[in-house]
Amino acid sequence: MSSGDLIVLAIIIALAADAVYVLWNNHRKGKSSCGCNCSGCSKTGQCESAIIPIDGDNTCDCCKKD
Amino acid sequence: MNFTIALAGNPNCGKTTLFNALTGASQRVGNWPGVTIDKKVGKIKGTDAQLVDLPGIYSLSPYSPEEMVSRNFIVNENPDAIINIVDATNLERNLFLTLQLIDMDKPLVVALNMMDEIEKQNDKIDVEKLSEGLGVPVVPISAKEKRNIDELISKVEEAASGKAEPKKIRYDDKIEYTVSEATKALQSITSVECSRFYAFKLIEGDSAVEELAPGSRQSISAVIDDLEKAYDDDADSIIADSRYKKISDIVGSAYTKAPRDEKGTLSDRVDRIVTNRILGLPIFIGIISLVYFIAMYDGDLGTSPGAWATGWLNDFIGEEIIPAVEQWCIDSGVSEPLTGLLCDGILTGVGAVIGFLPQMIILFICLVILEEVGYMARAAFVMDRIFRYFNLSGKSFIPLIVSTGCGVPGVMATRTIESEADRRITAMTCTFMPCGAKLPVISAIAGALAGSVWVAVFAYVMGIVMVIMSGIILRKFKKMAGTPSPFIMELPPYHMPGFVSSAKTVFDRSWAFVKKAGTIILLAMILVWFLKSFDWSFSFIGADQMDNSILASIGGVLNYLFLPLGWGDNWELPAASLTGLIAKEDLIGTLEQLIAEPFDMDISDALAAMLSPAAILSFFTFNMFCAPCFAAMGAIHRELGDWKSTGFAFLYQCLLAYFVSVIVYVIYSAIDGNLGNIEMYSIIFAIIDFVIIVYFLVVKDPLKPFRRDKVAE
Repeated sequence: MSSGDLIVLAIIIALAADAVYVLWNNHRKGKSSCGCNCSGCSKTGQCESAIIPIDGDNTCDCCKKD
Repeated sequence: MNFTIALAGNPNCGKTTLFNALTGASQRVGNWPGVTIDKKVGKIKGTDAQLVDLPGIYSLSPYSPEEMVSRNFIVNENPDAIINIVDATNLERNLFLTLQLIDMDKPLVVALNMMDEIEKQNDKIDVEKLSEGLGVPVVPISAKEKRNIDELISKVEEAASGKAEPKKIRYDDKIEYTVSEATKALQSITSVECSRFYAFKLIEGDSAVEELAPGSRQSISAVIDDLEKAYDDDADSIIADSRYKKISDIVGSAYTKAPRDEKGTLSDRVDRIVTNRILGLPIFIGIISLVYFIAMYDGDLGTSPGAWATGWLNDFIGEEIIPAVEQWCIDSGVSEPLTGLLCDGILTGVGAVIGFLPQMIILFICLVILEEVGYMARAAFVMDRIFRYFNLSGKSFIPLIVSTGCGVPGVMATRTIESEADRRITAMTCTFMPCGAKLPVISAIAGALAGSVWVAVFAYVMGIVMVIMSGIILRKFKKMAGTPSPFIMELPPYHMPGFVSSAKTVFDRSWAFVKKAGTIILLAMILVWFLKSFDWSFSFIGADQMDNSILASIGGVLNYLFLPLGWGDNWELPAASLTGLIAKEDLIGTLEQLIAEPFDMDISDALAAMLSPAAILSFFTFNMFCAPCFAAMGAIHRELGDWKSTGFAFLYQCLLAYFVSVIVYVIYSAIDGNLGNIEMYSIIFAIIDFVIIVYFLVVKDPLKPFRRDKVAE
């Protein structure tokens, strides 16, 4: 395996791991896995159902899993 | 002090703006009433008080989930004070809720909002007289201009500390006597504070109160009968009339209206045109066409800014970034599979989706402007008229409009629909509307059909037609039978969109699109690359042997299903549709990997080279209206509550999309003069599909012949 292979492999693994981490983290927080949370929802301007917890983390209640 | 303050008011009276002004939060403000069913919580600036923003409601009757959320919070959570925000420009209607809140005997402060509008209209409100009439403090404010917010906070603190004792609103003797009898009947279950409120509700026949105290209404039936006889009306109407009379007296003494222009305000005049019975729909179609024209037109009339920017970005990714990375890989001795995965898989697939970012930004700008101006509420009003014509609930249109952004919140927004049947129908059909993820697909297909803006209009109009058809068909199934519930919608006044808030929304939406490309789309593109680069013995095969890949064999099996749709012997198309179920943008990334990049073409040109225009449109129709992405299906499952219904929804959407796509393929071929060139089985399929759809639309009980016992359920 050449050094080029190692670099590319490391980049791909890092990208995939980051994507999996973000999705898993969203899932853990109860956000939608598709990115359709408050900022991802392109009709958030019409939707007033977002909850603003006091810690300031803006989480859309629409996508919270029951 | 640690107070809990509830913020209550009618929909669209500026509640979110006041919430932001009081808490310093940047909660998005919508010029769109009636979609909130949950409560927001924040901290009032400079205090330790917690502010709970309740859903917008017209009354405290248990008619809707919003009203129950608000009522339960005030009764059960016992806030220290209530801020009742009132739209000063619609005082009489807003005070109906105020009078019910006063009956709850909680410390109450009325925030008289939109005083800037009152001043613009040259009207006058005597705040002291209003406060005297209501028996609670009234603070004139403008939440938009952050006017008098500090005074409001100070009055609320006074009320919460018990310094401002609320007075009761007294009605005539007969009503007061009935209330006192009702209070006695409810003594065992009510707290002292809410006894008057509960008593009124018992007289009104509130089922929730009767459930709390069984037999209580029966015990005062003689008193209620006397009241009804005295007024020659039912108890519910008597109470409502008395409240409106009281409001009329209070407002009459405190509100002085300036003479009005006979033609009405500018909002009224514009509404007369945009919500016109005849012009409303063509104007809606015209506005959507204009939005897509600006975002994606590329044809004889020139190139739109969106199409130009997307073309530039695609060229930059395809001709600069990917070749440079590829060259670096060759120079560094990177193996062929890894070079392929990085360049042909990840960069090509994700790059194809990111390439549409400029068009998405322009679309978002246009849509945000329409939302903030208040036009989308008018669009819902226009659609309500059409929906009612087809015996569908107008309330369904709110989730449909929300779904044009994203199907997940769209499906969740169905929670505002009280009727179980209407809610299930809407949850199963709202994803027919073109969501944000489908916009790159619209753009690519528009490109394949010579940059036609009508593709976007087709997607919207067809989406509405699919919803209407489904509404009629699904209502014939047992779980979704019933009469549609009524829909009351208030049209908010038009206003100029705020630059900062609009820019923030556009940025948030665009950034979310980029983030999605870097997560789920990236993973899907890696999966697609593996499936197209390996055969079943898991040996690496080059791009020229893609037809032997795992993906080709899966797509090849599915391909038979799609032959009537005119997709031809192209396994790549069903394979792309399959990945579209993960996220709709994956369709674009997969097409780029499978049909565009290997032939050094863009997706639009590749599709145009592979398929006839009719087949392109059928491919588009199927992918627009078949089952949505996994996330939206998950949302549908959560709303429908069981896997059987979710499976039914999935099958129904895919089948209807299939049937309609075959019909679209045959009709467009006929219009194009190519009917003679298409396969006979497509025509036969189209006729059968058409007959099935018409059968389900027209026949009153279409499932009757299929029931074993032949008994209508």
